Amino acid sequence: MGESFLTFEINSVLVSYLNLHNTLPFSNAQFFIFLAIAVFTGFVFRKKYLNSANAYLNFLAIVSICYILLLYTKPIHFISFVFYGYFIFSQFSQKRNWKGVKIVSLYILPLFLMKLLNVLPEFSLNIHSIFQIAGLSYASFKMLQIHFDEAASSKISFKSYFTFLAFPPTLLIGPIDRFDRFTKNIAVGFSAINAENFNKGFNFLIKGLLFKYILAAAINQLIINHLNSENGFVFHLSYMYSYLFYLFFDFAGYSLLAMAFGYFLGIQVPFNFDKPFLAKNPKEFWRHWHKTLGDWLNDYFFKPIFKALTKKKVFNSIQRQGIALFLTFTLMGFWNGFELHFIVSGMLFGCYSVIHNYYDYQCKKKGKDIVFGELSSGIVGFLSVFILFNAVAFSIYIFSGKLF
Amino acid sequence: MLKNKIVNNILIYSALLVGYVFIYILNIEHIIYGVIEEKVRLNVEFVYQQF
Repeated sequence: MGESFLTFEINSVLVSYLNLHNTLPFSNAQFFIFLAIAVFTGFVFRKKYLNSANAYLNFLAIVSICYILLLYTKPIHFISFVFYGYFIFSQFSQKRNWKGVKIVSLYILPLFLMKLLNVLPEFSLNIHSIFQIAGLSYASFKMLQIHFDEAASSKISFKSYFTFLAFPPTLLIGPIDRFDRFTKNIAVGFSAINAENFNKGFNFLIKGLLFKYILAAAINQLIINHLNSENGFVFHLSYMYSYLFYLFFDFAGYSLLAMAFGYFLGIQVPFNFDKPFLAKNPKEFWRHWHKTLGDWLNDYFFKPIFKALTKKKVFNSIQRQGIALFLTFTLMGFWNGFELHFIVSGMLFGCYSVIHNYYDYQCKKKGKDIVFGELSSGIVGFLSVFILFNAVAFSIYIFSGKLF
Repeated sequence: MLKNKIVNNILIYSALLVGYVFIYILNIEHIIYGVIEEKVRLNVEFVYQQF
């Protein structure tokens, strides 16, 4: 009797511990409570250590490590991964013969294995779950950014490296911050936790709650859940538009919440979404939809490919741009996952960009609009927005995996 | 400037409140659709795990 009672006790403790350990950012009330405590503690410490950058970094490091150890799904996995990244950075960033594809493949290897084992479950056996770390891809992206941008700078401490990667609001799905920008915020110490940042953060918080918990939830509950798949074409069309808005409000809401708590803690997390559906061309669209990913791909993938192609001197300028654009968006597809629908969706975005780039080039060359001719700029603007919106909706629809 | 900010905030707060009232308190889904068949549900969840 006593033994079974004890087993029951241990089990219930274990279950509650595991539940706590499944707190991904913004997934449940525990996470909000955790952040609220962190923000409150920040305000308390503010009075004592106003301008000390070191005390402020320590505070953020403690917040990050507490989150990882107490609430995160796989603390040991994540910390090991950060050690892995820091080891590569400290060993290879100063070595000149270790750059380009060689170094990228080292950083990307765990992410690559995770995506590969997702589509090859029969090979997974026991190693599958080793690489199933939430936020792995964003951490990999940030690691690459540090490696390429900070290689020349003096030593980076493991503390700041870890804090940058594990900062809870941006840990899971961005926005993808930059290390130099992050350290600039840290350098001003606790004075970053001020009324101005708090006001901005509060505005983001309200908008984020509205987007994620009202609008996205309403689209999901009231529209998507009630679509009838027996309706064929009408079903697919309604699913396409409702999923697009669902994804936008959910993701933009998430980004706003990440920004809000970033600002509350004194870190000015960059914005990710800004009226993307009013964009007139793919280039503009990627400056307003998941902007930090677009910037990252541009800086660390598009530009190096374009540079490498320029050296080869095989293609002319517009061909080089086309190839680099297509490869960049195809990579984005692979990054989302190795499933066919992700890859095709990425390629489709690549095609849009290549077509627009060529159209732009021809317009400049001929000195007139080769598609819309003499139409007034207002009508051309409206048509551009309309065409792009539907093209994006189609690509996101493929991304959703509903079609195949 | 300040006026714009106040109007903006009032709009957002009202939308937030109305949204919560509609979705959770009034159970608008039940009002529109009545009893929901489980098989019709598609349950879209944005797959955070893939990231």
